[in-house]
Amino acid sequence: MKDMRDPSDFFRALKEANPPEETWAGFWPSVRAGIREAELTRRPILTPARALLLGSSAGVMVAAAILVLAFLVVPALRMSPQPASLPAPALQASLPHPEENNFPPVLEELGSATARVYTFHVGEKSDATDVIFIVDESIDL
Amino acid sequence: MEERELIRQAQAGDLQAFEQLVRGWREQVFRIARQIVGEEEGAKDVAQLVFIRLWQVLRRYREGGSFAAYLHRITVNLAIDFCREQARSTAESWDPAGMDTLPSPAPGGDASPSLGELQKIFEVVSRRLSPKQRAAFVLREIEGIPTEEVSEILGMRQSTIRTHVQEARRILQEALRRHYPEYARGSEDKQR
Repeated sequence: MKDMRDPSDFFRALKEANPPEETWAGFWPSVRAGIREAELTRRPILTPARALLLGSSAGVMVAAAILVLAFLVVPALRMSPQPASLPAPALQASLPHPEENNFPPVLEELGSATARVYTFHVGEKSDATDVIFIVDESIDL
Repeated sequence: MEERELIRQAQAGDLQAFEQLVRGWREQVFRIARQIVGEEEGAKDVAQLVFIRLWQVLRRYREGGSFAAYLHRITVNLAIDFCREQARSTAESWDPAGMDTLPSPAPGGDASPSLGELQKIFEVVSRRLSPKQRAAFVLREIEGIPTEEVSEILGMRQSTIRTHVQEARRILQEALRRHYPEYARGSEDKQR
């Protein structure tokens, strides 16, 4: 490499390789036309006028949403059975009292005379879950 | 008018201010595009696209950052995109056979080519470089932009830029030695 020409030195003169002035004839008009074309094709979906319209109708849309909620959700809540109010923690409340023959509370009767469904509410808030036991003398283990 | 003020006005939508910016930068943008793209017409197309893109994204440019680096980054990206597009449309890559058919300088001739010849030689021998090697070499070694700024333009570490430049120099030297031996010799060797 010692006796070879350094390509960096050799090609450095290309920094002076500017095109002749006539190269730029029509350059700016082309750029300007390109800008206009790009602006036409990339016109924003939310123009100022549309934004104003959207802004003025936003209040109406929110009010409509509240009315829909009021008409649909509130009656639905009224119709649904109220959950048994269980004191926290729920699991403790579901546990049987000593005087109830050590059975958990029966929450649901089945068609079978002897079958019982026991539901334990375990955990709280987002971790809350139900553990359901179905017990019947007729179940053959 | 000062460049900073021109940028501010162009950001506010002043096309006349933008035209002045274009006039100030078009030569360098063209040169960089030319060395990466490898031909004059393509470079002119790229330079136009660069300024159209610049107009579109100029509002995002924040004062304090290097405007040159911002502009050069757009230039390099569009030039590399152009090369990829060309390669795809022509399904053509570097052609060593084609290189061999190019005229070599006359033996014993002057080992200092004219600017036009130098441009042609670079177009030929730089075909062996990857787009990133070529961009790193052009920005650092031809345009003389500091490695730190080249690293910002190409979005690479400075060490990676140095590696690309070193590798580009090695490849160019090898291509010169093989295809243009008269130009490949150093001054020490020529005197012998």
